[in-house]
Amino acid sequence: MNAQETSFQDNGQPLVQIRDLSKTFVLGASIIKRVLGRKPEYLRAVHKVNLDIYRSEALGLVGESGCGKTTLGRCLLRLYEPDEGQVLFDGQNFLAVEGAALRHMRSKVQVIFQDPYSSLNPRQKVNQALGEACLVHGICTPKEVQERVGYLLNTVGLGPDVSDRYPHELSGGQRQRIALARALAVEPEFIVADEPVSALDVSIQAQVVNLLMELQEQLNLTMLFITHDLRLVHYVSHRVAVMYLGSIVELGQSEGLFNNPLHPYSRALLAALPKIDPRDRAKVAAIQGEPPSPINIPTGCSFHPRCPIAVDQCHVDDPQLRQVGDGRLVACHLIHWGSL
Amino acid sequence: MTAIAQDRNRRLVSGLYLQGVRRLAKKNLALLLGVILVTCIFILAVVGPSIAPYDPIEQTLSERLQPPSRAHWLGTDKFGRDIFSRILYGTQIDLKIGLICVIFPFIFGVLIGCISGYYGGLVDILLMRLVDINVAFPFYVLVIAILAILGPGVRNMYLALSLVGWIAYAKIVRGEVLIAKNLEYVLAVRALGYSDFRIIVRHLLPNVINPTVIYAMSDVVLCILAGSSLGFLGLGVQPPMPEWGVMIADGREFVTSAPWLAVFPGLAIAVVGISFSLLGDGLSSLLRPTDR
Amino acid sequence: MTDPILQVENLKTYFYVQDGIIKAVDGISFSLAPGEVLGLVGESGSGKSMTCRSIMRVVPLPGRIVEGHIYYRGQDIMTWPESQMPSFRGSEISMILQEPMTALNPVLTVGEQIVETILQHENVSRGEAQVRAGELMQLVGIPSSERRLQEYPHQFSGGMRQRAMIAIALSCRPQVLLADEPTTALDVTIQDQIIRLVQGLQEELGMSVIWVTHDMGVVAQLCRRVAVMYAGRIVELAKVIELFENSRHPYTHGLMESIPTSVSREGRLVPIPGQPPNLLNLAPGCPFEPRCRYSVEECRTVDIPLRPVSREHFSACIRFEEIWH
Repeated sequence: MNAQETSFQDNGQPLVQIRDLSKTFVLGASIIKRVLGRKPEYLRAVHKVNLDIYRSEALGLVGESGCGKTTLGRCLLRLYEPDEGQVLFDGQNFLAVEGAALRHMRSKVQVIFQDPYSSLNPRQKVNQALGEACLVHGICTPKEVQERVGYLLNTVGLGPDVSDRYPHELSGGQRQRIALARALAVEPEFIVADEPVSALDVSIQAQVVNLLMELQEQLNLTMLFITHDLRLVHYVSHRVAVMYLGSIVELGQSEGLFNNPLHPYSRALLAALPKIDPRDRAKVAAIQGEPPSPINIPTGCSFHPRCPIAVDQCHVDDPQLRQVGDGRLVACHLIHWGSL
Repeated sequence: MTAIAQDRNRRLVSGLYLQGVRRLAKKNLALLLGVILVTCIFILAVVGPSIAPYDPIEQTLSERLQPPSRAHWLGTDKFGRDIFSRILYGTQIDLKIGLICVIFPFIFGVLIGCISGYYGGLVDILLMRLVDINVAFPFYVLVIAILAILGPGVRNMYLALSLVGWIAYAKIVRGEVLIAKNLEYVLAVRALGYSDFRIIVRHLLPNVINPTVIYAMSDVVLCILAGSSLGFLGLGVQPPMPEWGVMIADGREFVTSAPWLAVFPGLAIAVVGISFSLLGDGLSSLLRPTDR
Repeated sequence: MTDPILQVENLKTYFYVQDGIIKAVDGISFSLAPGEVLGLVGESGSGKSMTCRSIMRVVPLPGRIVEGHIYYRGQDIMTWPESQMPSFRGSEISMILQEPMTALNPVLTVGEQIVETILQHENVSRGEAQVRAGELMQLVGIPSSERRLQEYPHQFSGGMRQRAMIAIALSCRPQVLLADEPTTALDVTIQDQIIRLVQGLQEELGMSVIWVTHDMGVVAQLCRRVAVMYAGRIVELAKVIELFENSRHPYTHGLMESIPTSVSREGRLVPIPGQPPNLLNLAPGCPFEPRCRYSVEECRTVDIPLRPVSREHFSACIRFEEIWH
């Protein structure tokens, strides 16, 4: 069976359920400004996002800068506290727990960040960093730590020789592997990978991507793969969600979406991707204009100023994500009306 | 082991030691000199009183204002007290000022700075108002104002210097923590569910402590100078204690006729100041974050 | 066959550091024809950026150009005294960089920066320069150019700053444009716009361009010829279609295979094993050898020059005939 057509929805209740999640940042607020009566600016990073992530699936989240994908990821990890909405993890309300229960749930949801140069504590040796994670969560006893660290390093394709080194003695690719090992140390079920390979050299990216995918299958992990690299997300994910200015505009099976994007923004995004075929050269830009700032979100459908097919309704009504056809969700009035 | 082998070992070890020192000298001369000088100063502070040839307080009016001689290496002051002995005793006094007025503010300032930077909130608001006050007034104005309320004296001087000094540490640490807590490795350990205490102590503190330590070195110098200045003004250490600033004050009227009264204590202050500065420079080079 | 507008011969730029010598550019030669777009592809440390800086003779210390000739319109720039260089930079050859925020002066208006460049090189009045600046802004697709000329870089978005930088670079009608990863930091849709812009301008003005990138897609869309660099050397040089369809170097192959193109999960990404090279005190022989699946003993000892594969196709692999026939 073609892997692309595997529907993870058969795996029962989704592992992660996101309901109406919103996060807005307040910029430049201070006592003085309030006294002067000047209003602070609001940056609407994530706006009423609804998303289900099923067990064992790799869900890709793509979008350009300012779309809110990183903020969404951090809200899922409770590194930012969402302003509104719910995050259910395995049926439990992740946003409501505190204390020991929170720590326990945290071990199920781990993260890998983008910058290998700042994702590890520069003052900790590799074995200290990995060992600490194991001990804090009681994964093993202090006596077993060394063995466990060796096992983790092996899992990410590194030899035991790196365990006594400091991060600055390792290359970017090695550091990302250590970050991955640290995430795996607490035996998570869900990993948020926020641009995990974007800062690496192309030849190293492929190594780490392959590792991520292997481990995802082997350890039956569920993954949210956040990236701006469209080719990568197509390769890695089963399903893909496209974000624009804080909302998901399209969601569907990876292969289907890439072959036939429906939302005008997805279409533009994919058309803008430079094809690796010197015989097929576009002459005209896929889309004009700049994405508006998340401080000044347009009314109605936030894409309408740049949309080639926008109509009056689009200026007024914000379209919801709705099912169109086989497993595809799109947030566009014209598509809902079947006009396309 | 044969004598030859032993000798070879000894030479090897001292050779390695010398090699190490030489390498250090090439890489970080400031650190080497700083460490040596500061160590000497500490030793002097400890043994000074025992090796001083004369009592620092006993007055011998027959030998007033004598220039440096074999009997009195650095001369005598207006009460016939041996300046060399007084400087030796003073080492202890001034060093104590430098250390006490740095260590307690350091500990307290780092603590408040961490809480303020990490949690924000009320502590942060209060701290920033204190910083505003601290920055708005010159250092000496604040210190003297506090001494005016408390009265002069050594204990009060420690208190005044500490009260004004800790804020700088808190400010530095707060700034560093504000930046560091958004770095990805801190976010990662938050996602790992580590307690705030563990995050602050094991992940933030070691990475933000460097600029604080380096500032502490310059603060030692500042406090010694402050102690001397306050002594000079009569607000800190009181005569007849042989504090270097007090000695300079005593020598003020004799600057042209008997310069050795003021010059030698002044040199002592300068040397201690330079030593700690070198140490600070050396530490700053040593602790500079390694390049990628 | 017209004469090349730029000819680089055996360029070597070395950095002398405490621990040894870093051979950032180690003997590269290539030519640039008038009106041609040449791609310079490589990863970090390949020497592609340093090549551009060497051509402009703005290599930062502790680096120096130790050897080589750079012929611009037949004259060897390397023989010119430093005093002659400023009139050359910006008017004959211009450069655009990756981070427009740091490349633009934050305290001068954008208009002022364009005008300044024009006045530096050409004998026109300030008024004329300002008119030209307005025209340039329109040329690079910045709307409301009147207003925009008075604005500061921080008021521009990333894509517009890059356009502004292109406007400055083109202000004195250079013959050659060196573009050092100008779209790497931009979003896909903006990158697309900038690529089309440069494509159009290049055709309109007949300018030659050296475009530095690590993105094979950009290369495929923009370039006529491509030089693939690794560890300071050119390992393959070919016309673009030839490079994509008929590559003759293991590193180029490795790069292509490690890009997730339109393969789905079923396809296999084949990464290049190992680590990027350490340029400090590089060992003799082929620099790619430690990671190459075709390496033999000779690859470690012999310094391999670029050899012709066919007309306008060169490879620095000693075994390319055997591996691909």
